Amino acid sequence: MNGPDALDPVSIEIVRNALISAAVEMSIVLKRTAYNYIINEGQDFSVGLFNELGETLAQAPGLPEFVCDIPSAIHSIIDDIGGIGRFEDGDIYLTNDPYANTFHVHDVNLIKPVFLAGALIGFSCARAHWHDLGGASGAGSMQATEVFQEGVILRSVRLYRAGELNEDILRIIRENTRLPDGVLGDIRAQVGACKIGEQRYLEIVERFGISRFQAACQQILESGEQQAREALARIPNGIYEAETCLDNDGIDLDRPLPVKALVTVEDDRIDIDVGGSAAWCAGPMHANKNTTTSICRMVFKMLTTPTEPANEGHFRMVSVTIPDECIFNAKRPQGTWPGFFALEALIDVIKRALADAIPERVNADDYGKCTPAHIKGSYPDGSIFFLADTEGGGWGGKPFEDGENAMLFGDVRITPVELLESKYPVRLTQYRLRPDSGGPGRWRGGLGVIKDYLCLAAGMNFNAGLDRQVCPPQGVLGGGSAPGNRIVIKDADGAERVLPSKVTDYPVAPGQTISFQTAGGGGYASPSQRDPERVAHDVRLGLVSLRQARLVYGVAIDEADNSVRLNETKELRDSLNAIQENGSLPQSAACT
Amino acid sequence: MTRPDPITVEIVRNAILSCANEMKIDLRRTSYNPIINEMNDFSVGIFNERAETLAQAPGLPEFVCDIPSAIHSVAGDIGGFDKFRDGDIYLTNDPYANTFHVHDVNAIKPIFFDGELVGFSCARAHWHDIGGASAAGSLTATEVFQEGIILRSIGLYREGVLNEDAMRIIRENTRLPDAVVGDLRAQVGCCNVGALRLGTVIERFGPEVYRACAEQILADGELQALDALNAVPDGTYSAESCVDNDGIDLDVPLAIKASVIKTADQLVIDLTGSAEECAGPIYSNTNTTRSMCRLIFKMMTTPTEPANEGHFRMVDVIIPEKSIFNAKKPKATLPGFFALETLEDVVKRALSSAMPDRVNADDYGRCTPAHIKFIAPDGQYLILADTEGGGWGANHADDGEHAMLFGEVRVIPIEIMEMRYPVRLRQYTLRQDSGGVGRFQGGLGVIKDYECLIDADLNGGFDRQVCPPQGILGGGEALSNRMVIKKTDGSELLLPSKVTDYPVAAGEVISFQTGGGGGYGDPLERDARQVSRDLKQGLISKERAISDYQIACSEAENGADPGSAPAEA
Repeated sequence: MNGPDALDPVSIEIVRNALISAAVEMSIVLKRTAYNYIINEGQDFSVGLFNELGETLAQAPGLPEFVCDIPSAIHSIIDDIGGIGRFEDGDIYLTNDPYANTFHVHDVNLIKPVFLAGALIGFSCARAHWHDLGGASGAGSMQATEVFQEGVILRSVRLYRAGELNEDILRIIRENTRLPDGVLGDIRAQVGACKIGEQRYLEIVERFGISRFQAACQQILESGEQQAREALARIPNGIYEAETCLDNDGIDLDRPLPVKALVTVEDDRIDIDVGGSAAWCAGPMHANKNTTTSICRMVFKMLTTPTEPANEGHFRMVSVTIPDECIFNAKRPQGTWPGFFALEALIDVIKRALADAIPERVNADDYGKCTPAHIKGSYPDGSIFFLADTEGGGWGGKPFEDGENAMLFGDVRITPVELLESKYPVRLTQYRLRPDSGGPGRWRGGLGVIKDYLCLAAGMNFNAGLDRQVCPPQGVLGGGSAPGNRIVIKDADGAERVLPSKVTDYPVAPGQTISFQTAGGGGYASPSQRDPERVAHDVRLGLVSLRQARLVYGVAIDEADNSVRLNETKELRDSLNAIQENGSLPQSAACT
Repeated sequence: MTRPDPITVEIVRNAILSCANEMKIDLRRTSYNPIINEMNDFSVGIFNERAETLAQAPGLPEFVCDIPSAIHSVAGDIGGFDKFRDGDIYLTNDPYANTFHVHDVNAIKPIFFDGELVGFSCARAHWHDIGGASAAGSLTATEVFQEGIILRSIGLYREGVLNEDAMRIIRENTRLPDAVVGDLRAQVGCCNVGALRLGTVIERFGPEVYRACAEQILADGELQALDALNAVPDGTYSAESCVDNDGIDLDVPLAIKASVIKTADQLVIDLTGSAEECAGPIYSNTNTTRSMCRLIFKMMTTPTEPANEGHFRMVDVIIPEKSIFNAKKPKATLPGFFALETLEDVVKRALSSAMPDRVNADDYGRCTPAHIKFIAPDGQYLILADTEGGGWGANHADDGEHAMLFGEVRVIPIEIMEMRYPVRLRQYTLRQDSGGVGRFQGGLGVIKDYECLIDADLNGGFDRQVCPPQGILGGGEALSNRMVIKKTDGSELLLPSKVTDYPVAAGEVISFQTGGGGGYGDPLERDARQVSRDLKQGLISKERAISDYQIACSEAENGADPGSAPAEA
């Protein structure tokens, strides 16, 4: 860039990193001051700074699913209030409109316009997951048929007007959540995060001057665009597709919902068409267009410039095509709460579609990622508790190594067992890797976990969703699939039963155990190409059974010392390869 | 304060009543939902600066003098009466302080004269939908959050400025945004009219005379009620009934019990012994419960006088801490009126021996909410709201009324139902033999059959099946309410007394069958000519004429002679 406001590359880097630091500071403030550990431990939030057009300048690492989704919140507020000129200095807007800008009503955006000398120069925003927002079921129903059953909609509502708290709005929020202290504490934390973001943003602008700052921002977005274009150029032109399915919509349990993507790469453009995915359903498996677009952008980012902090420039060459009556185009009043099941499945499908085109960039299907679990009940004094958990699982095998075991996504973390046991009437009787759950492959999928909650108090119930049982995580390039997620109830007498993949307010008695069992990741390339010594190592660690080693990997292992029997292994592999040439893909053997 | 002359007091009293009546006309003419403008499920009135009722327009009697609790709870939430400002309009639907359930939303406007708070104009109305788990409101919720959103002491207007953000929350959280926001605007207009008219009254008489008159109105009300109370002999009277169940645990009836203690110039209604708790939504708050007890007292003492706070100064209500009449958050309350309606009958029945000429037998159970819900082909919600009339209890001089609702609540015309919603009314008839037998017979319930023309979901509550309406002083009990689904193959299915989102297929018929009223006095004392006339009109069957009234069969068939005595058994 030329002209009087042009900045040297060093200054641009300083601005870029200053913005990222500001976003990270927002994230620290939010984590340290939020009440619900779904925010401060689970990190189910997203914070960032945006320019005056609502474009992402910097976002702190957090929930990757939220990458660059906040602009849609800013834009929908602008539409609702009648234009960008309606913002006033000191305003803070709330919005959780699941038809415009969030996964579901529990994700609430706080948006603070930033003014300098009376002119709007950007936005400081904090989105966070509120633990309860009313509705039919505490913490959110997994099987709602209308948004009204999911919680209160706060669409483009001013919490602050020109610096003045709108007490009536706060009162509505307080009255309509089951956890008023926690939720109000979280709002204050979000307000604090937005204010810190605003302050740092203004400091950066003051240091460089507004016109030089804006020039630098343009440069930041342009270099983001440049990076992404270079990476896109490495994907060969072509049309690529793949599909999977969700188990069902939570209402009609026998009908799987297809999730399909058609990816078209043509020179400097990439289009992702989700047509062919399921049409609108009775249950809550919907996501809005903006959020769907944002997920597609995230996958694009993972496959092109995974290590660069995201900004709007990285996505300028991406378009997403979404038909009208599609689960990815939610319309009021459809339920959307667990619509992320469809979005997580879409991530895998896009990756898998591109596996042949960019095998060096793609890993196999992951375990399904978001596996929400809320165990609910009341303490002896009558006050209620919600234990919120989401389990890690296995990630897909990669072009150069095995998939990760027991991992969540992005910065989302597992809540420590010690915290769970000290706060809630539960005991964790088992928390371990699930043997044989990784999809077999040259690079094996990561393993899922088994996490067993023994319930200790009367009157408990839980909401949970562990999808991907009908179409478990698939392998790529000849890799095998992994067993799917599941929920099992174990009675005190040892009897076990598998639940449907989504339950709401499912009752559990003291002495019963809820066992969350997550899927593994798919395998990468044929398991008969896996180094037999790695298979033997897996057997030694208990990750893979002798049976699976033999049947799926074609590796014979001596039970006495866990060493590889080379001759027998060669025979096994020859016969496996013959079977594979007949077209049947390896599957993970039945899992214990 | 000088005592104003009686004529001025009467002029002021009637002027304030006119304010309330004009508010009512305004609300009915400008509201959107038939539940308000046809059914009259609302209440409007004028209140003094201490939130005491000065005048209330005839409407839903269950709301008589319940609005003061709404004003008090708003004042409590915002930090006192001195926090009200000219131009404010508050909303509240807090079911733990001031309403039956979240669907009843109060709009409260403080009225200022020369900068001083002189009173309130208020309009409570039933909103057709306010979110929650089930369109139009679940009848089987276990928490208030499933019933709809809570608007507790929300400043919709502050000093004349609309809180657009609060309005947006309301609009977004109802399934019927245009209608509900329209109704809210009608309530606002109605409050503004009340305030304007009261200002004119005060201006005409001057604040001092006005204030003196207002105090006198209450003192007169108190005197009228005390006079009537004197007719009740001192003593303790009790009775009981039950609500079928809480909608969750279908096998456990909930006891409703009242002891009425009359001493010289006080009447205490003690609800100890009523059910203490339940999982389902059969709760009501202490203020609403108290207001219901006041309503019964009014019916039995000064039924024809327009109500004001003075009429209730001698009534006290005892509600135990642990009681379904003492709802605490987050207990659900939507159909808590089943318990309140039953309580009315119980209090009346308790007093039947003490004031036999003032009391009628049990009524059919009154509030029988029925919402038939459709999704139109264009995706819009269509929510048909109905509540059926039934038989009222007989009294010392007359048979009970047939097919009657309560207060000014009216049946929505069939023409409106068929025009607005995909239904056809297949049958709407009196339900033979449904009235309790007696010297004076209980009124008859109705049978109303809705054929659904497209698939529908039903929320319906027809309670009082376990303890049907009782007769008094020898009168018999009546048939109770029930809901029946008539399948296309001709089979019939009796539903539980409360259902939420019960699926009904196109072509199926929902048959609402309401109870009758209890009978009054010994049936063998009933005039045989009356029995035979009932028989001819089809109100009773031949079997009933013979077995309960002991009219000879031939007489029953041919019509009894004038003057013939009841046959010997």
